[in-house]
Amino acid sequence: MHILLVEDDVRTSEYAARGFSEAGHVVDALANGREAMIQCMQTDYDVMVVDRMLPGMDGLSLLKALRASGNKTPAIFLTAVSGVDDRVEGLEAGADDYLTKPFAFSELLARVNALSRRPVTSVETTMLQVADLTLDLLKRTARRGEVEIELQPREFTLLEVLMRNADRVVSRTMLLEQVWDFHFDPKTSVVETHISRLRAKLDKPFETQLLHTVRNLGYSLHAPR
Amino acid sequence: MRRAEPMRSGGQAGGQALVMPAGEAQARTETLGAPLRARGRDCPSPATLWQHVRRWSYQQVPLLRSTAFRMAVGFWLLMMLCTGTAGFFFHERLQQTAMSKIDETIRDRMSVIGSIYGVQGVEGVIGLARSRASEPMRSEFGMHLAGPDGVRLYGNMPDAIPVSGWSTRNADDIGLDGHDRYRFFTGAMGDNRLSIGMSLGALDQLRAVAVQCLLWAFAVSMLLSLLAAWWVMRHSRRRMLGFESALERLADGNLSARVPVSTAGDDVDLMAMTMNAALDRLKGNVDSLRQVSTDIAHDLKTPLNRLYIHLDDAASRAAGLDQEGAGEIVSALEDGLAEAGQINATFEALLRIAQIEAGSRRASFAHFDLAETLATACEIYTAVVEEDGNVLAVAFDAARSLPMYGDRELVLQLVVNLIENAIRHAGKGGGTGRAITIGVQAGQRDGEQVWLAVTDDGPGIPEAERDKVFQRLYRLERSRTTSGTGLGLSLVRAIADLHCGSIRLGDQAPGLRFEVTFDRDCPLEKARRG
Repeated sequence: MHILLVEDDVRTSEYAARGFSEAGHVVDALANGREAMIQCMQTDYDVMVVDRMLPGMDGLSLLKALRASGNKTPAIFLTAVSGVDDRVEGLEAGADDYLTKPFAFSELLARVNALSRRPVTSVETTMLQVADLTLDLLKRTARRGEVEIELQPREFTLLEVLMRNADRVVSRTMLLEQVWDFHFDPKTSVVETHISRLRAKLDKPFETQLLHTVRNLGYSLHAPR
Repeated sequence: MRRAEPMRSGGQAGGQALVMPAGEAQARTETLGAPLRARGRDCPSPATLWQHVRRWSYQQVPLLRSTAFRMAVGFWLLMMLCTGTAGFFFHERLQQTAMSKIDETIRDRMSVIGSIYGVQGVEGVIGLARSRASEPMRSEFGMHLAGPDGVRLYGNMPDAIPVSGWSTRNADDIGLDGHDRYRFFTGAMGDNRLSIGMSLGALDQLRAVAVQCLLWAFAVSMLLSLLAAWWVMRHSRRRMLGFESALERLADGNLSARVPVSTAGDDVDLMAMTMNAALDRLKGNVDSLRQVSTDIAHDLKTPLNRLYIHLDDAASRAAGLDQEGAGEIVSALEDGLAEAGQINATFEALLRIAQIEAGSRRASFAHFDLAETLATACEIYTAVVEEDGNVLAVAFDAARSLPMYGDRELVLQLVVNLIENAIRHAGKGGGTGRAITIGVQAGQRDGEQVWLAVTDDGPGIPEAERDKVFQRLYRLERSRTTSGTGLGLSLVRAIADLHCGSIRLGDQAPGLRFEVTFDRDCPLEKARRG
């Protein structure tokens, strides 16, 4: 995957660039918003990661300008303050996702991966499948083989998010945002509790385990390897 | 481009009562009969007798609360006092002058009659009187001449005046008709007694006219003064309302509110301009403070991010090591990451509170259903509470909507923070202790307020500590060792404030009850006022 990284803090940038390279991606790292604008016009990237505060041209203006010029490259917006207006502004400017500093690289990688796959699993998909687990998005039913699994609406959404990102790590914050629409960090184990409940229905009665905890990163749904 | 991250200087948390009138608990009416409260603050209690009398009289006659009205009435009273005193002296002086004129006339006559008596005797006097005085005495001039035996020799009035010298008599005292008063001089003329008098009718009439004039002046000036007082009061009330609404917006954290200045350039305008200048300066200071906090936010986040990166990097490298003790290094690094995460959480919460207090979120207010929001939170947290062996009791009808106006995401966070606060303080029930019941209730009052309450029957909070729980970074003694930023309830209060909500912290005995009441229209009105 070809990734454009626009970040003015050299150390953060170097570290992220190295991480992306290790994960098998090609990275162009830039520190200036204006340069990034020119670079985007020349090269077609798969994903870009843009910091909010940049010399030359700030992240918001860069995204707005790019979107105005018809560039549709999926973008992750890095902000210093989570919250309240920064996220909304970033998303309104044309970002597809956002990440608050400080972030773990694994989280950034998980989000980049999720973004790059987004167009493939488009809205038209009505069936999701991982190993013997199938999810019918129209009938709102889940099955493992022939056995139907009873899910509550919120559990269904949780499973859907995990299945759409099958084989990838989905971070705790991604689940909070996409399943519960929580854009703040709860202090209690909301995610853990619901995952363990889902696991009890999804995996416990069956031989093969599909839902895996990735320590310190999040969760991943995949067929046994 | 650096955005201003609003940061309201702290200090505000101290000394708040248990019931916090966030914004205006009761809508302030713009009449003079308004309660003696402004933004939840009471006037100081009266101490001296005079202060008590003043407070009482203002309560009895709310109109007196207007300074302008009091001044207008005061000036009217002063004016009346001046007019009254002037009128009194005018009246007295008029009376005196007229009386002395009358006395002089009587004295003249007396001396003329006296000289005639000296030459011609009693007959001369009678002759003179006959030619001069009309019989009987009607209005202006009267005389009575009595012989040594007291028998009337001549006169145009029936009775004699018994006393000598000057006297004032009523008509019936001397056997005359009418109600006029008379002025007499009685003196001896040889062996005879002579009384000469004049009617005071004309003078009395004049006096009545004067008194009437004064009374009319009094009445008209009272009417005009009251009208003027009313007008001045209305005028100054309008200006005061301008001040009040500006100050209210300031109290809401809108530092760009300014006091209106009229074109007159009078003392009030001078005060308004001085105040605006002070506000400009204050706003400048606060803005630069905000800018500083934004800069700090950014400048701290970058190194915090690097710290994260290094720890994360080190941890993943250590995990890859095939060496003894690698696992311990990894877990030590992960502890470091968790600590960095805690620092970040505290920092984030402080910034978020500051952002909320600045009120910029008001722009994104919309109508939403509180019942639905609560139901969502309850649905999510039922599992978490059950996991601890406790019970989440939902005591409201999710199907009955509780419409309110505000920021759904923030209100959801308010609810979540209250529930999480209850969960943290409830501890683990189930196996070890008894199960704690966490209750979520909601409803509406009079169609004007919606309220929600989160209760628990856990250990509760000592009475003395209750008013401190909303302070930033405050943590109960027993929860110092648990995780948490000490900002969850501060955030609750900031969100409640933003929505004109008031928080009541009550005792459930055992346990606690947090109740948040939202004034339904207040955020809307505030949004309109800007």
